[in-house]
Amino acid sequence: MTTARLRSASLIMPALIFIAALFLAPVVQILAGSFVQTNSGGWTFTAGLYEAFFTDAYSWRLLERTLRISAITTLACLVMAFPVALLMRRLSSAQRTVLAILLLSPLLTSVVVRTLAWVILLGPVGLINKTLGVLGIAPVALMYNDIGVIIGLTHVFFGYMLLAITASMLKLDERLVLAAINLGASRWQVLRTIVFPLCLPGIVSGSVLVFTMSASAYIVPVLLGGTATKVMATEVYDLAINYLEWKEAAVVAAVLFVTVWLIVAALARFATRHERIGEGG
Amino acid sequence: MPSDNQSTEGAFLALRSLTKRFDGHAAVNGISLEVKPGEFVSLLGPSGGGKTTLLHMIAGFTEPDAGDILIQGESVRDWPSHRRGAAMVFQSYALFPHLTVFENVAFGLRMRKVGDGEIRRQVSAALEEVRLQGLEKRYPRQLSGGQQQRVALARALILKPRLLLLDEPLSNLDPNLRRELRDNFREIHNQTRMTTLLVTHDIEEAFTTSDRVAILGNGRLEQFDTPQAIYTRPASAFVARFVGHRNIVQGTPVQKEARHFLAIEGAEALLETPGAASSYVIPMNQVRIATDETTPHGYAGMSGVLEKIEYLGALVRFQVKSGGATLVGECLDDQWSVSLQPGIATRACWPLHRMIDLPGAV
Repeated sequence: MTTARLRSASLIMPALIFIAALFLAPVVQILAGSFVQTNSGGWTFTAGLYEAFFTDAYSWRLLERTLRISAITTLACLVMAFPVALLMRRLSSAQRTVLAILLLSPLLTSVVVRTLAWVILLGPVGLINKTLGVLGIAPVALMYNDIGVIIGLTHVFFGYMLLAITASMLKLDERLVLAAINLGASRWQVLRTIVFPLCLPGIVSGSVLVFTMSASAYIVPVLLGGTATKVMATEVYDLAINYLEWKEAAVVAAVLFVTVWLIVAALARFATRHERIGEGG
Repeated sequence: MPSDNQSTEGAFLALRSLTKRFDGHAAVNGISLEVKPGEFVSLLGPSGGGKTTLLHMIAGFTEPDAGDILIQGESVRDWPSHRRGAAMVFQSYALFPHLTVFENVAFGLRMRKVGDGEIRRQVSAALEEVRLQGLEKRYPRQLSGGQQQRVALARALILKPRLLLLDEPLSNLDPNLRRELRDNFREIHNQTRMTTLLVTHDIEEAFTTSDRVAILGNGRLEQFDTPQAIYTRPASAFVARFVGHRNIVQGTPVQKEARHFLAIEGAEALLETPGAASSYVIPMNQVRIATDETTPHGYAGMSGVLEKIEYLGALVRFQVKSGGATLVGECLDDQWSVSLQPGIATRACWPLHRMIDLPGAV
C-alpha cells in the first residue's frame, strides 16, 4: 500500500474505531456468551442453548412470524412506494420537495407517538371499529395480530423505501423512456422493460432497509401486536429484561442477526449484479 | 410556378404552422417547412431556440398546440410515435444500459411481438450491416463511442422507418470523435437515402452534413436554405450573427453635390448610384488593412486603431476600432504583415459590392 493510500485509509479510522468499540465488540461478546457455559471456576464451549432453541416449535413460530411480517411489510412498502416514485419523476423539483416532506413526515415523529396514534385508530374501540359499528358492520380485529403490526411497520418504513426508489427513479434518463416509446413500447412495456429493471438497485436497497428494520422492530410489535403477536425482537426483550435469561436472549438475538444478514447478503448480491449492468451507458 | 415553400406534392415531410407553448411561452411558434424525399436537413439554432421541441413533435413525444405534421402527404398529428415511421437517435444515443447489444437492437421487434427466429435473423442482418457482428453479448458501456452510435442506428433502422430523426446525437463528445461520427451519419445517408432531420447547435456539423439547413431562433424559422446560401445571403441579422458574421453595420445614404455616399459608422463610401438605408454585413474575409490614406475605388474605408490581433493558425483575425464601431477582419496567415502591431493608427477597407444587404433591419 502506498503512503497516499495509507493516508486516505487513515481517514476511516475514527469511524472504524467507533463502530468496532461500540457495535462489533458487544455483538461479539453476546455471540460468544451464547456459546459459553460457566461452571464453578471454569467454562466450557457448548451449542446446547442453540439446540434447545431449534428443537422448540415455539422458537420456529417466532422466527417464521418475524420473517413473514418483515417480508409482507417490505412488499407492502414496495407496492405503495413504486407508484409514488413514478409520480415524483413527473413533478417539478419544488413540487417534489413538498410531496416528499409530506410523505416523510412519519419519519420525523417519535415512534411511540406515531404508534399510539395507530392504537387509537385500529383498537377494538378505535375510530375504525366505532365507525363500522355506527354503520352496523361487525368489528374487525386490526390490532393484537399480524395485520396491526404490518400496518404500523409499513407506515413507519414506507418513507425509507420511497427515498431509495425515488433516488434511482430520478437517475433514470428520460431519453431511455422516449427511445422505448419510439420503438413501439406501450406504457406498461416501458415500465416492465425499462423503468423497473433500471430501478432495481433502488428497489433492492429499499427492501434491504425495510426488511432489516422490520425484523428488528420492537416498539411497533409491542404496542400493536401485544402479547399475542410476539416476534424475535420482543422475545429478546422479554428474556433479557423480564426473565433475566441473558444467554437465551443472546441466542434469539444471534439467530435473528444471522438469518437477517443471510437474507440481506443474498439481496445485496442480486443488487450488485444489476448495479453493474445498470451503470454507465 | 409555385414557390418551393408552398408545394405539397413532392414534400416528404411537411410542417404546417406548428406551434407549441410551455407556460405561455411559445417554444415553437408557427413553423412551416417542407423536406424533400431523401433530403438531409439540419435544424440549427441556439439552445432554447425550439429545435428539440420541434423534433419531439415530429417524433410524437410532444403534442402540438396548433398546426399539422404531414408525412408523405398524410397527417400524423394524432398518431402514436411508433406508427409514424420516424425513428429517433438520441443525444448520447440512449442505449438501454441493462440490455445487451442484441437486445437493444431487437427491442423494437420484441415490442411488435415478432417471433424469436425472425428476430435472430433480422438482428444479425442489422448488426452485420453496421459491422458489429460478434458484439451481440456486450453491454453498451463496454462499447466505444463509434460502436454505440452504430448500435443506436441499427436499433432505429431495424424497424425500416420512413424518416430518421437525430437529436443532437454528437453533443457531449470530444471534437475528433464528433467529426468521425458526423461523417458516419452522412455516409449512412448516402447509402440509404433516407430522409433525415438532424438537430444541432453546431454550425459546422449542420453545414457539412446537410443539403439544407433550417435556422431556428426563439421558436421561429429564420431561414431555410442551402448552407452556402445561408452564409452568403443571411435573411436576418439573427442568422448572420448565428452563422458567425461579426460585422453588422448600419448604412445611411448621403448626397453631397450630386454625388452619392453611404455613411457607415462615421465613414463615407462613394457610390455609383443612390444607396438605401439598411443593415449590412461586411464579411470578415473582405476586410483589408490599407497601407495608405486613400481608399481604392469601389471600396469603403474606415480610419481607426488596430486594437487586437488573434492568431488562429491558418488565419489571423484583427480588430479595428473607430469611434464606437469595431470592425473584425480575417486574412490568411501568410498574407499578414508582421509589422502591424496593436495600437497603431490604421485604415480598414472593404469592397462595397461584397457587402451583404440584410432585408430585416437589426
